[in-house]
Amino acid sequence: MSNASQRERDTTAVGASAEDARGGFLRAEGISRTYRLGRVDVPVLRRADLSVRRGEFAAIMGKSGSGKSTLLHVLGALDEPQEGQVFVNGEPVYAPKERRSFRARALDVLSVHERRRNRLRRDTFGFVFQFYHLLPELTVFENVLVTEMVRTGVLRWPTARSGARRRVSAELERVGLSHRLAHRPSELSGGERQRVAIARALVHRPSVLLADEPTGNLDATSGAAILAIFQALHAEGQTIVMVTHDATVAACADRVLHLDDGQLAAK
Amino acid sequence: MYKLFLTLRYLRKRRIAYAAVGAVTLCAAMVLIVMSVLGGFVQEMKAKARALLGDVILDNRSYHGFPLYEELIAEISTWPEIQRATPVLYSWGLLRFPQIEQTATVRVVGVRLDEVYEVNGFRRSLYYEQHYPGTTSLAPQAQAILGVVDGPQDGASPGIPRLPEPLHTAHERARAAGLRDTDEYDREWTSFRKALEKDGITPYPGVFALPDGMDDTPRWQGEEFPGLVIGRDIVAVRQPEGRYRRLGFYPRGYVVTLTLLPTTEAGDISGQPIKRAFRYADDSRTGVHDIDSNYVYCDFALLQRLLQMDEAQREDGSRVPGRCSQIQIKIAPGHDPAKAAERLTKFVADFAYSGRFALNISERELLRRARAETWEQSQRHVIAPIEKERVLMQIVMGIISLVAVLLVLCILYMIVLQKTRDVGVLKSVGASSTGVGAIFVLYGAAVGAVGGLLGAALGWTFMMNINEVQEFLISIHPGMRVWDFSVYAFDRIPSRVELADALGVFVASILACTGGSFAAAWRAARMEPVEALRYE
Repeated sequence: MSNASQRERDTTAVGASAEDARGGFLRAEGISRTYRLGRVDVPVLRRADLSVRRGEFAAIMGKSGSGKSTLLHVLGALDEPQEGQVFVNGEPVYAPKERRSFRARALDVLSVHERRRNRLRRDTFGFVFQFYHLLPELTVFENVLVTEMVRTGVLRWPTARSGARRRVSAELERVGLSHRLAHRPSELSGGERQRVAIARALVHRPSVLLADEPTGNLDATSGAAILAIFQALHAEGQTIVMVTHDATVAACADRVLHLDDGQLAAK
Repeated sequence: MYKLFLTLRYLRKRRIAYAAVGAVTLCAAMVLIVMSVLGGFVQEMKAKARALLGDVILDNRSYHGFPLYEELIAEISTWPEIQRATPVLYSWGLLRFPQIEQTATVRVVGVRLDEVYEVNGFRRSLYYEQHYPGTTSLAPQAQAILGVVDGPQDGASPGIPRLPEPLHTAHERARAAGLRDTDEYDREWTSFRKALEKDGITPYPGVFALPDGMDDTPRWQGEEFPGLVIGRDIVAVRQPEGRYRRLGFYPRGYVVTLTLLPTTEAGDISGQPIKRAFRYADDSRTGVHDIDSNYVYCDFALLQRLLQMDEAQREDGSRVPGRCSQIQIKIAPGHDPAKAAERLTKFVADFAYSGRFALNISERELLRRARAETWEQSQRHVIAPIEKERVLMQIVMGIISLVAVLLVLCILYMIVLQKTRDVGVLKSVGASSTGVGAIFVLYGAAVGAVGGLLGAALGWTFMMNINEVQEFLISIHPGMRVWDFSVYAFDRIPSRVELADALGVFVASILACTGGSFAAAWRAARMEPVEALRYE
């Protein structure tokens, strides 16, 4: 079974009806996020709405500091908004505000919502960051394998290990790094590092790939190679949400959205 | 799985972790060494006390002793818990080495050698008895003279050195058994031995006189005098570098004199001091400096007679019972010495007033005041302070070890700061907060385990060689001696390590470092993934 068909099966099994009913596999409704800089509140997102269909390649553009990365983090269950909600397959990502007491917040690390967010990051989303964020102590292979380890409990690991290693090898081969398995991130070029990050984001076959300026730190050739990978993934049916400030890069997407004054608008 | 994987990887790849492991190693080694030295000291004290006193001691703490000891021993010897009992006499005297004009005040102990061998470990402290079993005696004896018998008739050999019987047989038996004299020869003996060897004569370890004049027959020579066992630190002086040097050339069998002060039944000094000649029969090497530098041992009956503590008859014809200072008792295996001591104390009080024996008031009181104590109880004034000192030192060492815990805390906190982005990455791929925190708790435990293991090994190795380390330091400068035998009683630093102590230090290291990692782990666990990813 190909990766694409596997992904298709994963994403259609549960939430197809919910997506059909509400109009998007990944939906953000009325997202507001404010940062406090010193004694000043700086609003970044103001009641932003977004809906991404399964298999869609959406690009979000905006000038530097417009809140693109913040929106991506909110979508990916990494950063909780002050207002609004994100739905994956119709299910809310964040706990309802009114139910979150001080005690609940204090025990966040043990809460049901924390566990749900962890599960979403582990199974549903894959992140690609502008600065790669690879673990410097690990080899290329181990950087990707660690995602599989996070997904597998220590007791299940002995039986799951060989399958995980096969998937990691396959993913690294797909991004053209099968000859670099034992190298450390410091021994790779920027483009190669980003390909490792993509392999890490894809190895667990996420429903949605969230990419934050994936080519922002690369030269033109490396950037083009990364975009080629994204287009290939899109062709296989991978849902992608990409943040970029580069119109050329955004042009690869099905749909381009502009983030301006904390709100999204179609181009 | 990732927790263990990353823990081990961070431990191997983060060099700063080596500093934490090093600190834990040193602390663990330090604690183990202090625990072992003090613990060994206590153990040694207990072992020596038991070896020198027996399991239970009956004593009235009076210089002029107590009566009816023979009757008492005969009674208690029927008890199932009593294996053997022997009377002992203590007094004071002046010991003189006439050949070298040396005198020393000594504690004189009267013992029945064959009985005391069975009651306690005194035999093991006798140097020549250990190397030439059966040759030490407190009975009257002459000086053994090393002679020469004819060797092979080849004209080349000047003869074979030989001791008189039964010493010759005892020496041959000892040689056959592989017992070798390991005494450190003093300078005089070394030069003497070299001179003998030049003449082709095999010397016997500096204890026997050699033929004088023309008569080279192995023989016993001179007047017979009772044997006297002398503490090693009386016949020899320990040099600053640790070697012993005898007070001149003083072989076994040479004459010494002992001056004693007899006491009356009422405890007064009776008449004139008594001076008696003895022959140096052996030296006692208990390893307890206080004993080896003060005690000499002679025959019980002889000392009792010299001190006028033996049985006598009053002018009115009534009997004056003999007295002893102490009864040392060996308890039969499987019996509790404390219970036996308790029973004995009660028994002695009843025994004194039983009316079975004709005793005057003074004699009865002397006997009634006798108390039985276990060897531990009798030495509590020495052992209890050391036990307390040990506990105190453990507390002090524990506080010092907190430095290592704080160091681990700081290092782990620093590592968490350095690995903030890794925390963000791990959380972005779905690692839970507890999982991320667990990495750093495991990391702390791993630092503690490695440091504790290395520390235990280092402490163990150091302890095994602690005396050699001290000797090395002394060889550099005598002032670098850290263990003064005159202060700490033993001439060697106790070097035994208890496995339980080593395991305790290992486990404590793990617990301490795990505790020290909680702050760092909590910070990592509470970190928001976005904040972590944005961390500069």
